[in-house]
Amino acid sequence: MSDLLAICDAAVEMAVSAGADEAEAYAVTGRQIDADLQKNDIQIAKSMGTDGLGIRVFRRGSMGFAYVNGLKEEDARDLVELALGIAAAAPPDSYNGLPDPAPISKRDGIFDSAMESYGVEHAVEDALAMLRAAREYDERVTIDGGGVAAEFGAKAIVNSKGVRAIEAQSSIYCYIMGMAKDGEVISSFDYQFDSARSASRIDPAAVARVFAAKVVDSLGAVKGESFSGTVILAPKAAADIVVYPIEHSVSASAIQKGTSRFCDSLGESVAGEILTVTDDAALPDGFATTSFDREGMAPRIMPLVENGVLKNYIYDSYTGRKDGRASNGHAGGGASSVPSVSTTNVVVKAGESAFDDMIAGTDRGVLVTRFSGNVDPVSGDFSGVVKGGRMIRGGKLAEPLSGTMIAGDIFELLPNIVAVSRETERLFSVVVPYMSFDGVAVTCG
Amino acid sequence: MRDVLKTLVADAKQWTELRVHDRRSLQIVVRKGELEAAAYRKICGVGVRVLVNGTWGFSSTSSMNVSSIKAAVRDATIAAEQSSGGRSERIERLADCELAVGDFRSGDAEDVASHSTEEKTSLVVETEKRTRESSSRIRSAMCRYTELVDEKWIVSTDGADAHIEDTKLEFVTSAVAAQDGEMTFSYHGDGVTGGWSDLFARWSPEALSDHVGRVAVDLLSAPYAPGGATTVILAPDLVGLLAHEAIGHTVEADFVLSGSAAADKLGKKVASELVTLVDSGRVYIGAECAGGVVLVDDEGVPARKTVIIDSGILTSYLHDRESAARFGVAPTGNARAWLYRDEPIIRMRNTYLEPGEGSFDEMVAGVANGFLMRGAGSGQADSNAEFMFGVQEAYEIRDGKVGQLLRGASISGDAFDVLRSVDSVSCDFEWATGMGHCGKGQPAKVDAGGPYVRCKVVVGGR
Repeated sequence: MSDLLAICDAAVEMAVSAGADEAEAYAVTGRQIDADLQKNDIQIAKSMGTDGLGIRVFRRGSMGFAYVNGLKEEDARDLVELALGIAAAAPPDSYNGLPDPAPISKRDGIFDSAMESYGVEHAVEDALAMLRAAREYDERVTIDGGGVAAEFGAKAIVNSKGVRAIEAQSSIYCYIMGMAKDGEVISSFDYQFDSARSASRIDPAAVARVFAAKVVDSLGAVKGESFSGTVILAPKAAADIVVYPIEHSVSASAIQKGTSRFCDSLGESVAGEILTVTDDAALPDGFATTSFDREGMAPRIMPLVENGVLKNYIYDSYTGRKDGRASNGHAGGGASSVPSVSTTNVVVKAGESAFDDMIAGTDRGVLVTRFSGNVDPVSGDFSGVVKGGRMIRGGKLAEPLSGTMIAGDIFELLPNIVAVSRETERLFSVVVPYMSFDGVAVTCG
Repeated sequence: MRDVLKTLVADAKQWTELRVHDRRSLQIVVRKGELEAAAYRKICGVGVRVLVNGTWGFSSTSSMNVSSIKAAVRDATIAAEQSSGGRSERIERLADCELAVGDFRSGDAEDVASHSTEEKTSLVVETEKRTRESSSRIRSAMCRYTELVDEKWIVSTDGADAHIEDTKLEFVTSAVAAQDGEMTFSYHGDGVTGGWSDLFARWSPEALSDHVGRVAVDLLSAPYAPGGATTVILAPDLVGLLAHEAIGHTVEADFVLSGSAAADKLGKKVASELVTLVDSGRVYIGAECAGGVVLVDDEGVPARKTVIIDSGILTSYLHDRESAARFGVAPTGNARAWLYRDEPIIRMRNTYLEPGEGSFDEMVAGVANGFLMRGAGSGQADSNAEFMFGVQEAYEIRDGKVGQLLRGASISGDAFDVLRSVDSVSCDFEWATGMGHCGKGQPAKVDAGGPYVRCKVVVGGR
């Protein structure tokens, strides 16, 4: 790991010697192991390195960036020249620059040393466990694709103002997608996944069983009816329709560019009181948990929406400088990308309603298991197809639905959010409960 | 380079494919007057694929020296050996075909390099500014230029020996307009396999700015589209999106083998007889610089024209060498890998509906009550052929006349049902989606297009 800091040090020094006013090097190293499923079988196993080095330079107020998928000193030398060439061609911006060093506290649960020995044979075993579990659940289940991907490595950052940090990281995720087929009847297409920082914390077979149950349940779907009424979004659909526009809208970059519905809304009510959303870079085992961001700053835990009230915007150093404040540690991106404002783990606080009670309390509505469609995070408009959905009648889950669409403006719906479930689901870096809304347009063709 | 690779595969004890891929990319993004990114990326390495005990193994290295490539061959072999026990259906053979030997070139890297980074940056800055300043109601604009300059060498134990150069460019701009707390979005651009002038042949930067700005502003005063099943005329961009997303993916042989909606339908009528749907690596129609040009795929198979649906009858799937052997057909040149560290998988290239004989005006005149739809928003489709696409501009058609612009529309349905409902195909043709990427685990540059098509879909609205 010390080599990683050494190459960053060398790159920054080269850039400054070559004429950069400020320079930053961000490097990653690691090994990735994949076992992919396809056509109800193992398709391919892979093992490969993931080294990369990104150099950002500033000269006379202009920024340049270059990336190479290697960690050699000669790579760094080429990059410096390229990045400076780009800076020479780029227009200056008085807000450009790098952040000063700030204390970083080490966050736990990002790295499991046991992952170093997680090899191809383990990935194959876990992928096969998914395949078996899905097929054993019901032989009508057919697996389009899936797999297990594990990574073990480290990231490091050095900048010419004294930022210097390194962190080991490990991750694993498994996913499975497909449908159920019963003769000519094909279910809704669906997928399920799980992710963690350690192989001991995912259960591929359980993931496959949940997937299998969902696709089997959606067999025999029928067209529903057109009405305006209650829609209960399952966590995957809520992540797309609710969380994604909120993530976009709290970004200082969107605020400054006027492309957020939350402009000038700090301290104001933007949602019903039952909604609380937090950006939590310290979430144990979180996929985006980190001790430092893409600029080497410690991400602060940020309440975004608290009891319906907008509490904070998230900043990197550029947007911070523009608003005359410090970064709160939300520069996202990897070695190959220029840093930009990004959330880390986003947690929607569990509510007080049991999911079963949410169904029982709905006279006529739709449960949206998955949403396939457009969500415009700027305007809040969403429009798309209900996947694996179920009609709710008289407080009970009724027939599975096909050909049913929902549409609305999420920012208009948020103030009238009806219920948030106790149950939550973790979807990579997002933790989401079930949420229900009234007055959603449901269309059936 | 080819000689080094040939020596290495000559030593291989099993089927081995070495693919050196050197990608140089430049991306410039300006948003609301800020240069968000001006980034140069060099991604170069060797992807190694082996077939051991009827099972694939893959590894890659970013080091180009012989010992590193040999180590990657070893890692790929171990990966194959360790997974072969878990594979229930072994790959008995790969489909034979005449593998590519020689030099292949698409795009114009020299022309692109002759334009300086300063010129490219200024153009992006100016275009964003023009888009943003095209109306006082534009709140923010974005412009992005991307160039991908690829050089590849593909060598395999069974005879592939190709050197490939390819250059693909994209130029897009978008605008967000706002009024009375409402916001609208518009996005357009072009993507080509070609040189600098090809990129601006259809849309000059100025015309693009003006168009995008105007659409975003016009949408502000547009009422929401009503929902329901109805007759629509799809413009070439939406026809291309339908051909690619909703039909094309279902005929990718890997999805077919997993039970997609196109499984067991070869030789059967799946669409109106007015529909002929093609996927081609080389270009046989429209502008030659389509954004998904592939002369030789990443298995070294020459990429030709594949007629997927011929006058309504499903005639072919899209194959790599593994699936072609399984179906007993010739590979279609659809195996593509995004980077050296990705293994080739079945992907589309340029996917389109052949033009027909109808006229656009007559098509509109024949609609009593429906919509003209143009401008592809984001789309999603499942392998059961269910699709949903956002539509940027929907225009009412009443009594044979195009009327008011509507917003917030989307279309959905079963893609084969939609193709069966086609009752008119115009004689026009346009490539229309070259500025985007297709995602299937890895990205891929693709293009799609077609004529205007009249059909029935479910319109989602309010």
